[in-house]
Amino acid sequence: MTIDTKLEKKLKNLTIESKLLTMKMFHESGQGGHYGGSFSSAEFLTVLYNGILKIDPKNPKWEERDHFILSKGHVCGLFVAVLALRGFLVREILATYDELDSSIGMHTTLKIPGCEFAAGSLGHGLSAGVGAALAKKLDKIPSRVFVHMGDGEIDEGSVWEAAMSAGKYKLDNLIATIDRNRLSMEGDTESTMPLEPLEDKWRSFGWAVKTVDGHNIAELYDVLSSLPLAENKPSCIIVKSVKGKGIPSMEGNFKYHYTKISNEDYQEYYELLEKSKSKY
Amino acid sequence: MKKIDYKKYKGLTGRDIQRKVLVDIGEIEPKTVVLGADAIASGGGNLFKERFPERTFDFGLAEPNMIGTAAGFAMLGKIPICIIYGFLVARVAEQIRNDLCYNKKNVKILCQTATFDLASGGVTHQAVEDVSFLRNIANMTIIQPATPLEAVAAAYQGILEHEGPVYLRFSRTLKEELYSPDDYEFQIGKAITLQDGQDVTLIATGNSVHIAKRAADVLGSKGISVRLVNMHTIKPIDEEVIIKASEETKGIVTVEDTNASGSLGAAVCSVVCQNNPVKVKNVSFPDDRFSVIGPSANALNEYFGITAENVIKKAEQILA
Repeated sequence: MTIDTKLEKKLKNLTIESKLLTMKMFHESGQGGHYGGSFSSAEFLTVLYNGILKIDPKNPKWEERDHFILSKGHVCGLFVAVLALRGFLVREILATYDELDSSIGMHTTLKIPGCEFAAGSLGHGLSAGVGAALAKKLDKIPSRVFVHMGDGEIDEGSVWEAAMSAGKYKLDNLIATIDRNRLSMEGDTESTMPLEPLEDKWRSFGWAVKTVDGHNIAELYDVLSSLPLAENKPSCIIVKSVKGKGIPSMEGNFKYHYTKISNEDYQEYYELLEKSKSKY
Repeated sequence: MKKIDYKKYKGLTGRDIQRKVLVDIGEIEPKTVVLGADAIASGGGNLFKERFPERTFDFGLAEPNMIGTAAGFAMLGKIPICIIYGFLVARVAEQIRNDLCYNKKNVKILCQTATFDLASGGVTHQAVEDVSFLRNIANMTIIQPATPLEAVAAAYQGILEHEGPVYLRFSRTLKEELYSPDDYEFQIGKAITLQDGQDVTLIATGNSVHIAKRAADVLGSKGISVRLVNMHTIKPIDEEVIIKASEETKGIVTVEDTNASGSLGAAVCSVVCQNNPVKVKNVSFPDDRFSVIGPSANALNEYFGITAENVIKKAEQILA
């Protein structure tokens, strides 16, 4: 479905806003943060939460909701920023990032309103998604289950166990999305553990697959609003992205997977993002 | 929950208990689903599968995915029962910790082979550490029944009444009964004192309760007053019963076929040391070694000294 210009503009601004909130959270906590993977997933999560998911911020446990599982739980900062912008939680909570017994920190917790599954250790989300999708099929609940993973994450064997089972049960209510920024913690995914040909791998496990530009709001909206990709098949969306997108020195630099930035850099990056917002 | 009609399970042994209990629980609670990893029939899920094919899911030889999937089912309010071999708990320990216990999911894990059930399978197929792995995880409940009736009670209560992850450690060799269907009462976390005594206490779990019982009989015939406790729930452990035993008898012998360092033996030692130190001796699978191939569980118990004779010896050492 084609996005209208007004919504596209809104989502672009929300994306930048989510990055600003994320950066503020990381920096003001005095700790580092997963900048790279947060910024590569920002457009995707923003489009998903503001144009695709059937959810109700006032009633996070609404029975007819779509379920979203953030399997790459280390982008908790971005996730809560998106949830705050969508009205699931008050902004004040973001100031508690990394505080003692806070609901928010490096990885997701069940204390976050709207968080269905606490993740962190990688390779867990897709199995939970398969179970939730099967339960929905069993009870003839028409809503869907989305699972967002990192590309490095899919080195985990459990992901492929889950992928095989989703294919077996023809779960067309399950959508796996992979943030394909081609960088895991210590370098290029293709030298750490080659993933290509990635589309073919998922197809051979019984999935319908599509690759999209992860920073193109219109394209993301178009594909995500036309799901499932095929009847009787789970959908896999490979979200091509750039790690650290939006901050030139972070872009494509695995050193920004997790880092702490200086006050000077923070000021510079903040202003840079603010400026890009005014473009719209 | 209404009272369990134990009579209809009378005489069932081993996996036949699981077969009947699972299908009955399936009738009572439509939210239950059985998940397997190419071992549903061998784990006693075949009657459930025949009766409720749409509620039975086989994930093939991929146990981590089975456990993770169970978390997803539970997210939607289902009560998944995962059938797994005891020795595979090590493989899925992280999924149990993160997906079930940390995420507070109401999932049941039905262990279908305890300790030496697969004696001839050797080390890879025997399970002496599974309780140790799970006993350290918050939110986990571990139940190890000693008799067929206790297995029925544990399944009903663990699956239908208890909210949260439960490890039902069922042995295929469950056969000897100690209870009567008319007056049996089971409560998760409450040990059962099978006989009272003032000299020494034997605390046993699972199949080892019968070994302890034989030891208690011999000690009794020698004029020693033995307290015999069936610790069917290893986590949470019944501290009250242990403390009482430490105060009212001269010492405690724990009896189990798992490794004591992470299981019953360690749990009892910890409670005793912190509350009322008395002598505690463990009869268990030895620490820091692997098992061996054997023709039967009994043969392996003998080989490793998990015997009534050894229990008697240790009880007498305490009293000497």
